[in-house]
Amino acid sequence: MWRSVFLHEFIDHKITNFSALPGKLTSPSFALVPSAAIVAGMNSVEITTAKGLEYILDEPLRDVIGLSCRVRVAYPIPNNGLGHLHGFPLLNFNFNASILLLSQTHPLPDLSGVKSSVGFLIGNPNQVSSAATATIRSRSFTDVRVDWHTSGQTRISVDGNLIGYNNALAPGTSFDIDRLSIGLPGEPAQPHIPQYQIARVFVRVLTRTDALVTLSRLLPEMPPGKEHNRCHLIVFANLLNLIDRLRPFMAAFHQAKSQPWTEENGPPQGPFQTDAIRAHQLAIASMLALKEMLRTGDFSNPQAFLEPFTKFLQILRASQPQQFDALAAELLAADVVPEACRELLKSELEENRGALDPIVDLLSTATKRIQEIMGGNENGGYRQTAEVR
Amino acid sequence: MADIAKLQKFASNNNFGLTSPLTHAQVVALAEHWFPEMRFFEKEKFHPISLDEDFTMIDELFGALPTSAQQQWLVSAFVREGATGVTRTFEPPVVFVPDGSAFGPGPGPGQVPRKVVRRITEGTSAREGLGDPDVNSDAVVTHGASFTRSNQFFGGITTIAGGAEASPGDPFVPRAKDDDDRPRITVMASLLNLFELLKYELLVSADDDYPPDGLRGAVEIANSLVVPAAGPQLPLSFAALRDFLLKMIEAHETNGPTPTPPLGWRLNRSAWNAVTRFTFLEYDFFYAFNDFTRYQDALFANEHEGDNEGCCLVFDRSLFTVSPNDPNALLRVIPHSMMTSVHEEFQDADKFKSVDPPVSFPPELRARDVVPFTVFIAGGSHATYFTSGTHDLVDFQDHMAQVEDHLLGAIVLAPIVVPLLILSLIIEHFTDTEDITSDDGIRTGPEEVVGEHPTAVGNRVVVMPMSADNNIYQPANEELLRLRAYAGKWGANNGIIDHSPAFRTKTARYFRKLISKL
Repeated sequence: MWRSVFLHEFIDHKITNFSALPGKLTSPSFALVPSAAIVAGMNSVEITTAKGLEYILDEPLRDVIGLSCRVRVAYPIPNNGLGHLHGFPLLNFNFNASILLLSQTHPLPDLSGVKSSVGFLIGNPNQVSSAATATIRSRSFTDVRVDWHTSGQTRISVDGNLIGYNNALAPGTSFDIDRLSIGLPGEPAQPHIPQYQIARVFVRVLTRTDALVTLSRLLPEMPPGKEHNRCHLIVFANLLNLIDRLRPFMAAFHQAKSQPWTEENGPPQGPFQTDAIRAHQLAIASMLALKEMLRTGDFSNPQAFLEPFTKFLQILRASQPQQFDALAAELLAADVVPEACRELLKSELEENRGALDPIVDLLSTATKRIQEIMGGNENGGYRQTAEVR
Repeated sequence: MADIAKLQKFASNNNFGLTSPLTHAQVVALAEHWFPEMRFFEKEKFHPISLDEDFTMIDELFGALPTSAQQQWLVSAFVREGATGVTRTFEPPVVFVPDGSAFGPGPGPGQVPRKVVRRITEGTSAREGLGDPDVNSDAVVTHGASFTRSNQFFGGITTIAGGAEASPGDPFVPRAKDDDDRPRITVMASLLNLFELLKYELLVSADDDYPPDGLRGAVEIANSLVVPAAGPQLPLSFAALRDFLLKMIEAHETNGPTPTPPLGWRLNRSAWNAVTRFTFLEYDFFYAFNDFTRYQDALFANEHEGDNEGCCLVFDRSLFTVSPNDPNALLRVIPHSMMTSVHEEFQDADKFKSVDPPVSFPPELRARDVVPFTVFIAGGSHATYFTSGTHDLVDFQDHMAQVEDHLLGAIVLAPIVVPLLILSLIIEHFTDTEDITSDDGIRTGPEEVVGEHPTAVGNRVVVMPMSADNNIYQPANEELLRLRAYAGKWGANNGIIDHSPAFRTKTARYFRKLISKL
């Protein structure tokens, strides 16, 4: 599960009423006063230069590999910024990532809203960007959403509809976040800069460790280890390193099976090939089936997990057979548990065997399926992964 | 044990009363006035019921079935019989207590012992079991721990228009009925003067023989009232904290000097001010079943029998000192703020909203006329929000603490490395989990608020008597006490991760949220 970082819904007139990871608002933020300026009963704040909100985290988020941002925004008219020529940073993460809005000038402006480029900028100092076009309404709010993952996949959505997709935006990138800002609170006021109204901001991130921790949270709860020793840290670090090895493969898959796309310019068939859609559905189905088994303790139908899991892997292999086989062989041969730690992990497995046995059985079968898929060899024949039984 | 007599005696000896300066009659008036307008998602099947209805609705429906049809709704359980355990069936609802573990009948290599329960009461007599001496915080009341069973006895099955599928504007009708057979939603309410509550909780905590009591638990407030002083952090026992706070209470009551805090600690002044200033009006919504899994394909969507959610109004109790000759005066008191409960407290997802009091409002109007109090109940999860639409499920807990404080399953399973890695990558694509609320489902609330809306249904508020003049620990309220003091779980679950809840008071949770926003 991606971790929540900051949620402000301006639910009352207090700028300090929000939820976030521990941190502090900077002093210019306190000048904002939420009010129902656009829609009755829905508070928002005005942001522009010298007006905005900045939040500094007590502990920076390290190794961010995914970012999901939602901003509910309106562009009220008349607006002094109409016709401005540079992007306005709606949401900023240091200099590492930004969501920008750039309104487009029209000879006959539509008073109901302003056609704008919604851009996402990532990377420091070598920034790359993705953009799509949408109308930011003036008398009601528009929900802008940007999702980026280190695989390179970037989605820009407006009001729940995908309007832009990039399949290779800063793949392999990770960065730290120590603050976020909405608008430009620290800058001097300037003329001809747009004013936006913001009614909601929600930021989630994925850090390098999150998925493995989440997977562990789904597994049966275990008592604290006898020793919080180096072994656990080493194994955890080894697993993370191996996941890092998998990501470039998945990035290559996304690049092969999808293409950059915008709602405005197409291509008309959309960004995703059938294989990409099918692979995504199978992956999600397998994980949900496993989750249900873990939740209920009912492992009587392992195929509910194994079937979509296997089909998902078959699609991956069909896309890049040589890379798949090489990577699978490398991972199957990987020794994530150092010799000195084997006894400790073995004893911890024994202590929790009752709860873990069905999971060990299921994942061992999944390992065999991977071996069968490798090289198209249905009978296996590759070396077995380390035995745990 | 659920020692009702002892609970009553303790309350009597300690002059129980948590609502001053209000009498119970005034509390009832206030609770009815502020009954929240509740709007449910159109596909919601389980609407709030009373604790009493958790028994009576089953009695009526199960009892009306022919014997042959009753069989499928019997509750199976593994119970002790002689030296072994056997699976037996019982009439719903059933009150169980744990009874160790046992092997099943017959030989069998590899047989492992299974947990055994002991039936206390079942069927129409189930409720009496709550007063059994063996019924403790580890007891369970269940009608079978599944959606199908809860749906049979409590789930909405017909829509307003008489259909079988709910849709916006045509939601499922609540299953509970009033005496005239009209659908009805029941909400519980409690008014709690935080100062009196803290004092009583501290007295309870000092009595090692105080029996399990589902009404208690707000003693957690005490932990928020001191913070470490500068310098090295020293340990603080709860006994030392209690002694200090009881002295603080005495000093406040007698206008005496402030006592010295325990060494290495100081009073959290804003939290203490909140205790001495505020009263909570809490509304509890009890649901027979949480079926969030039917609404979400999410990693942490869950389901469980029994569900306890709610909301709370915060009042500055100095404003309760009003003229007794003006019946409208109490109802003109504007709350300081309002809160709702959203999933687990550790997710920091609860909602808080300050109320901006109007500078003035006409004397014929009451507070509710100028301060709206509408809550939106999310489909399945029953998380309670102030706005309609979708709500991102937030979780601000410290994920890395899991790594530091727990043995991670993924580490133990590390030798089966490849599937683990692939599953981790798949998990990275589970970005969203959402609650859904809407304006198009069942709604209820004060008639003057809800009006003649086509999906409006009736309601009642069961006000917990917590006043000196009328309280739940008095003999006249013994039946209610038996239900509310029950400290066990209001549901069972066969799964590993999902847990049914005890009906824990939310006061300390609301208090922590309040002081974080002051």
